[in-house]
Amino acid sequence: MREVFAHGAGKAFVAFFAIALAGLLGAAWTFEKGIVVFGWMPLPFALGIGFVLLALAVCGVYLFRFWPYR
Amino acid sequence: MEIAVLVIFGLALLLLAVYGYKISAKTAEDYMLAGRGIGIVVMFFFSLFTISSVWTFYGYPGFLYRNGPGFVYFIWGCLIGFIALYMFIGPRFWAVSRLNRYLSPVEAVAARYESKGLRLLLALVLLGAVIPYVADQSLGVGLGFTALTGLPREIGILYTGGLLVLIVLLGGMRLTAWVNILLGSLFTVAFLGSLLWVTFKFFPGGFVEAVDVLKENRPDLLRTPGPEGRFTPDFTAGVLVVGLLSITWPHVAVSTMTAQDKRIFKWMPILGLFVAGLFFYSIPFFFGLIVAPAIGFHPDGEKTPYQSVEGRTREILVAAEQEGASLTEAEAEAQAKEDVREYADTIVQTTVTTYLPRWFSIFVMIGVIGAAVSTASVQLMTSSIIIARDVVHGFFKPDASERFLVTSTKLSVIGVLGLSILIAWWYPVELALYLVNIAVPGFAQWGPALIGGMLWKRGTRAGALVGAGVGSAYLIIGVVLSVLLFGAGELEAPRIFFGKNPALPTLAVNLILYVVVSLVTRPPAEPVKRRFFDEVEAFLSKKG
Repeated sequence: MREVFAHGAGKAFVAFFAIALAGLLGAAWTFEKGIVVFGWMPLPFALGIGFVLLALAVCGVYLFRFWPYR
Repeated sequence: MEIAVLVIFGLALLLLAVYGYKISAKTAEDYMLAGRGIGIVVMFFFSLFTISSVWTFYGYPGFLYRNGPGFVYFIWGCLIGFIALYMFIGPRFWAVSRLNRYLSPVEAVAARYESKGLRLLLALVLLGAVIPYVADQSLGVGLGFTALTGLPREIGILYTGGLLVLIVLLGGMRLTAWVNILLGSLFTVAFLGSLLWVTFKFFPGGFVEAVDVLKENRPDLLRTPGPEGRFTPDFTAGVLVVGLLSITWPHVAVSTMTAQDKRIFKWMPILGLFVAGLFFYSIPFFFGLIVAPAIGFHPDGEKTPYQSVEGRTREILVAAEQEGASLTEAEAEAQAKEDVREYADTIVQTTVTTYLPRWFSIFVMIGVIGAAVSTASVQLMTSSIIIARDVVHGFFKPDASERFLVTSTKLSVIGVLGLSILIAWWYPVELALYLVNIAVPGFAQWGPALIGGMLWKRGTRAGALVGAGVGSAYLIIGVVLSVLLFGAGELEAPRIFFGKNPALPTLAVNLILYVVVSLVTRPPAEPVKRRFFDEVEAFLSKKG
């Protein structure tokens, strides 16, 4: 993490995870509505899948272009 | 027939263990860390199937079945925790262990703080937390045995215990890693196969059709706080935070020490997100939350009706009235809670056994045993490494020979397993809570010392000792008092921890003390900073 914080891309990478985490935490207050996405994914599950897809893209870019331990 | 197949499967695993014994080197490094030679593919599946266990197969879907979708937040938290472990802690932990030939994760952390006392403290706390998690595996197989064959669950507990002893004693970490992958593959096929088969048997329209059934009959299963009202927004958010503590799970941290090279840490987050996040953990989610409860409302699904505590209490009261027995509502509710707990914990196996062919049900049971053995064997290896390396060698017999070290590791396996069998016998809470409410709070106690030790130069011995000592004492005293004063059921939401998961208040105390005491005490010595920061950074920045 020390190396990750030492460059701009690393800081942006950590910021993505911090914002995603805050978003997931905040979303817990909306689950009482019982929203089902696409007719088969309850909201807590769908949000997590959305996070995973975004995280895959962000990790892919960071790890293969900016990873400090190459 | 079921019993014959299970005996043959056990014998096949035993033969594998004997083969592993023959081909493995007999050094402590090979036995404990597979000679630090595990590559990316083996490492990924080794880690995935170490994490995925009876908890994944029975406990997690069972808890969703009882409490609705909020519990999926634990999985998202775990995923973020694992990514952080492999990206931020893993490379440094791997490098420092490789450079200094550390064999145990606790040994590495204690060396960072130059403290034998911390080594003993962390070893004991982690062992105390791993044992119930091993118990979870044997108990799960026991419950599966009951659902499949009607045999008492104790038979399954002993069967699993026997298999584990032989695999771990004969093989060590290398065989454990390979068995893990073999059994994990079996487990995946059984789990995915059963979900798809049973879904399309009852709901040709797939999950959409099953969700429609729930919308009509049990809409409370599709939203928080869930049927039992447990998942309030702050509780759900807390579950996510508890999931993040996967960064401290010792049986996963130890896997970073077995890595062949640093490229592994680049691939692990990607593979983890793709395989575990998108695919693997969706299987138990849909089984426990959607398909199993929806079948209970299908015209052909009356053999496994959906059971809630409320509904089961009514059934018990009606039955008591018909028999003329006197039963208070509180007594009926207490009985209902026990019944629903066991019913939910075995809902996957019961559904498969009830609606799919017998041969497939046995295959699924073998998958469950695979899941249990693959996880528990790594946990046992980790526990025994900690006992032998950190307690025996690190504290009582520092001049122990390599042979003595391997022998004491093996003897430790038997001791740890014996204790775990006793806890499995006890069965005080749902399978899911063995991990979330008992094991994870214990794992969390070495978190500040581990993370701070690898990333924060200012973290001191006094900070680590005071933080881990007070946090662990709060946890242990709190758990013991809760059980003694209010009974084992209190572990679901202990009042002494403000009704929250015990990890949250105890870790907060631990972390605050670690930071404050570190800041007011003398910084670590220069040689320690050199070994844990400068040399590690130089090693990691080398190309290739």
